[in-house]
Amino acid sequence: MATDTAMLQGTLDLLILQTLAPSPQHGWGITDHIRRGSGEVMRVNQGSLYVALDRLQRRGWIVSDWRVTPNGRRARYYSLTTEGRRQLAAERRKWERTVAAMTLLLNPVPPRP
Amino acid sequence: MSWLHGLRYAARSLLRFGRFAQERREEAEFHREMEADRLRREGLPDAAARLAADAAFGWPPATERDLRWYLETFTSDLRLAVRTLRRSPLHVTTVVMSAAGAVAIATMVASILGALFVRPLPFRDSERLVVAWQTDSLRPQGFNVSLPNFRDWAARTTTFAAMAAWSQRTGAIADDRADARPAHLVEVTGDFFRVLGAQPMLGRALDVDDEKRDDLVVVLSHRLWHAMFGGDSTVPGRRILVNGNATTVIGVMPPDVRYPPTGDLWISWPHDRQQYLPRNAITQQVVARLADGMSFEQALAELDAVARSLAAEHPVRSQNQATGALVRPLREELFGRERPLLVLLGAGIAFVLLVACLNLACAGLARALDRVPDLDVRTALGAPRWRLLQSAGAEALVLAVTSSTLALLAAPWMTAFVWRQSAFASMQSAHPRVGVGGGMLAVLLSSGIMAATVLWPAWHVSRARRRLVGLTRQRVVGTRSRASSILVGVQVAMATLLLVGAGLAARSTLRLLAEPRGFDASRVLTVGLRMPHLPPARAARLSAALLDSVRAIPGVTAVGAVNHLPLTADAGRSPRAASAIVAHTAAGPVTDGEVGAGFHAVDGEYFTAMRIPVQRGRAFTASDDADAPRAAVISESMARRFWANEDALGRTFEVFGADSRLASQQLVVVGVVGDVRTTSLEQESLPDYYVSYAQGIGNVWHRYLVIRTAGDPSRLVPAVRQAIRAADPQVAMEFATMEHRLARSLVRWLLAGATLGTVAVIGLVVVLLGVYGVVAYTVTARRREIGLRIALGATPAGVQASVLRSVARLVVPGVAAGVAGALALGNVLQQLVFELSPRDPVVLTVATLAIGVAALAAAFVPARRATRIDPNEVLRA
Repeated sequence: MATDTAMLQGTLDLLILQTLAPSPQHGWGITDHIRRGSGEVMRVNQGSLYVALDRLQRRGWIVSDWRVTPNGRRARYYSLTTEGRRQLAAERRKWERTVAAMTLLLNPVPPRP
Repeated sequence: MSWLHGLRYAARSLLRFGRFAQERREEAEFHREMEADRLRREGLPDAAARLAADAAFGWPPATERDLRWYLETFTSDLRLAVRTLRRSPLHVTTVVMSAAGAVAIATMVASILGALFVRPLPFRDSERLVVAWQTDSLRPQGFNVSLPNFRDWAARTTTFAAMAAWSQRTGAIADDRADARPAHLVEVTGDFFRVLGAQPMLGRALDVDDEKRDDLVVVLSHRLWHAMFGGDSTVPGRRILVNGNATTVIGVMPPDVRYPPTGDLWISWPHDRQQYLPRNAITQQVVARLADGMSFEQALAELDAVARSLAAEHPVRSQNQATGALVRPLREELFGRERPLLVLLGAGIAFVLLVACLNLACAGLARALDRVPDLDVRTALGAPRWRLLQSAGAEALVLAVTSSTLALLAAPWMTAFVWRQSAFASMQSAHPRVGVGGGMLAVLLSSGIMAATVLWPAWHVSRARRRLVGLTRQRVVGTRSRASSILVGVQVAMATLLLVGAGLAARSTLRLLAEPRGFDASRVLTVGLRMPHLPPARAARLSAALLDSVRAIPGVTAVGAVNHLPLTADAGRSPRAASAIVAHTAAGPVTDGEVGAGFHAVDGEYFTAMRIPVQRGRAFTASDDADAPRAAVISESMARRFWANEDALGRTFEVFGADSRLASQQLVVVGVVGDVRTTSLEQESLPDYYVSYAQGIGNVWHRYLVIRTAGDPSRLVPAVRQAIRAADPQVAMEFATMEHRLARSLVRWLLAGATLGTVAVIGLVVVLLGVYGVVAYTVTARRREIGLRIALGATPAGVQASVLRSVARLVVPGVAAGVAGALALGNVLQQLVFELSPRDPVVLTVATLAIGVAALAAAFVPARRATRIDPNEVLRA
């Protein structure tokens, strides 16, 4: 099972911000999006999700409000703030640099003879 | 910026915590439902989907889940505990009642000790209050001060913030509506209430200006105010008669203020009378408040120096040397005498408490072991060890709550009861209450007892079980026997110690009661008379007339009068307090050494009525009247003390300080009577001399009639009352048989003996139960072994002997330890004994034998049972 796939530290914050970028979403919607979007590879532990949502709210990157879902249930929706969008861009750049560095390290160019 | 967000967010969640948590739960609920929906869509059955969603969510959060689970298991443990306990009502009743009883007793003793020694006296800054006495070489324990000397003390010292003098008299009070009633009057100097720092509850207190008045003012004690005026708040300003003098009530003191403890009312000094008190009239007691920053030692040193210089300035004709002063804390003065007895009682109670605990622990251990199979099953099902302990803890909690509730209900009632019954009730300036401290003590003790009796055995057994996994139950029984053998040994030791203590107290009390008193109290009726409303000459005539009219009552065989009854402390005035003797012997004048001689004024047939034998010479006769030379009858020990080598009859002596009418008078010895224990049974008889009221000596307003009767003395009370009423309806009187008065003065000893005796008997019974329980259990556990022995040819006698031997192995070391303890504690036990060594061999032997015989008796029944074991039955089982 992929449930215990360890996530890199800081990845969860980036994933949440990214998920919320197009439109506000509730907690379950975020996990569902991440699960499906990653092809069932990444699953978010709900415990860490709500802790992370708390953290992001505290930092002022997201805010929450109660809305009604399309099928008529009350749910807490989270949405990005301007600050959050800026942070998302910064996190993305950081992530891309990390991925590039990782790729380089994992595929070393053979030294020329 | 972001920290500001953080702050706002934190503040919001804090401020609206309830709503916040509610939203959290709602959000979680939504999440789990959505997840379950998804899983159902994937084809999972409903219940599984729900479970999986919950599991994935990991909700409720770990801490809350643990707490909830813990609470659930604990309440189920509590329910289980109540159910289990209900199944063994006998065990529960024993445990709860003994624990509650022990705790209630301990709380009671702690409350009483606290009231006497710890709680401040009901006066402002009571630790700064002291009493002061004059001393000299004859009376180093201190004696009263004269008013002029007191004035000089107050004027010349700087270490005291204030100083007041008081003296107590017996008298009578009346108002226009009520009959005269006897009362203890306290004459006080103006500073008295300022020194004590006592505030009146009605009206005002006496102050210094009242000394300048020509009329008399009084402050009532709460007790008298209730008894005489029924708590009427308009009393201040009312006029009452005190010893026949018109006085004005100016205030009432609150119930706490009782100093001196026996006083009924405080009365100001009449302005004119103060002038006439000479320096040799030593009548005043002194209470003072230390000045701020002054130590007790500084005050003592300064006052001693002042007293010395006063003695040099005003030499008196006395051979007493080294006049000085003594200062004692007020608390010490009030309660110091009771301390050893109370400490002893406290120790006895602590003993019982400990023994009860040990026994309960024994019972608890047996119970825990009976549960071993049950515990085995629970362990096999995976219960961790702490879980088993927790269920024992629930049981302990139930028992502790029950017993501490019972104890808290009983303790205040017991405290009040014991206080009323005991001699301490007379010292009413302290009121014991079971306060918050007492309550906390009770709860703590109950919890401790329950921890010892339930938790400890559970822990012990669970440890033994772990060590003995896979071994037979027999081995666990072995552990039990070992542990409880030790407990029984300790109990035996403590019971021995208790028995020795009780034996010493009982033997001392018996000795004291058998001690020759020098008079015969049986069939004697005594009447305290007070006639302060009469002028002295008429009071004297009335007293003389009363002797004749009472003598005429049928059933009366002799009537006399005396100023102080022997062995009954009257308002703290010892007949010996204030006199010194110079005796004229063949070898010249001799004065008394360590102690003064006791002064007694008598009238009528006092010696006959009390059956005090006249050894030589004669008693007073009608010829010893006001015109005859002053005659004295002396006690044998006075004759021995001063005229050891000659005949005392016809010799003369002089008295200083006893009665102003004896000053510079020669008293002629006309008779010698047997020794009488006048002040206490514990003390050897001291020199005593008797003078005659008929010669105009002694207080004319107050005396006791001593009436010897042919039958039951209390039956004559109405006739005597009527005879006195007929002579003068205003005389205040108070009746008691002499035996009743004696019992009151012996109450300390009787109390000590009775309490320790009860405690020792309880201790002995507890120990017997302990021994019986252990032996019975061991015999049951050894059934197979004993059966085997019998099958192999052991005789019943041999079996019995082997069981009794095992008992001896328990009891002998216990008794030895107890006796060793008693020998080591000799100095503490000294408090208990009268003319007896605290290591009295008789008491030690009797206590040892009693314990030994009792233990063997307790073991005898199970030992007999062991001989009747049927080998067929037990070996086949």
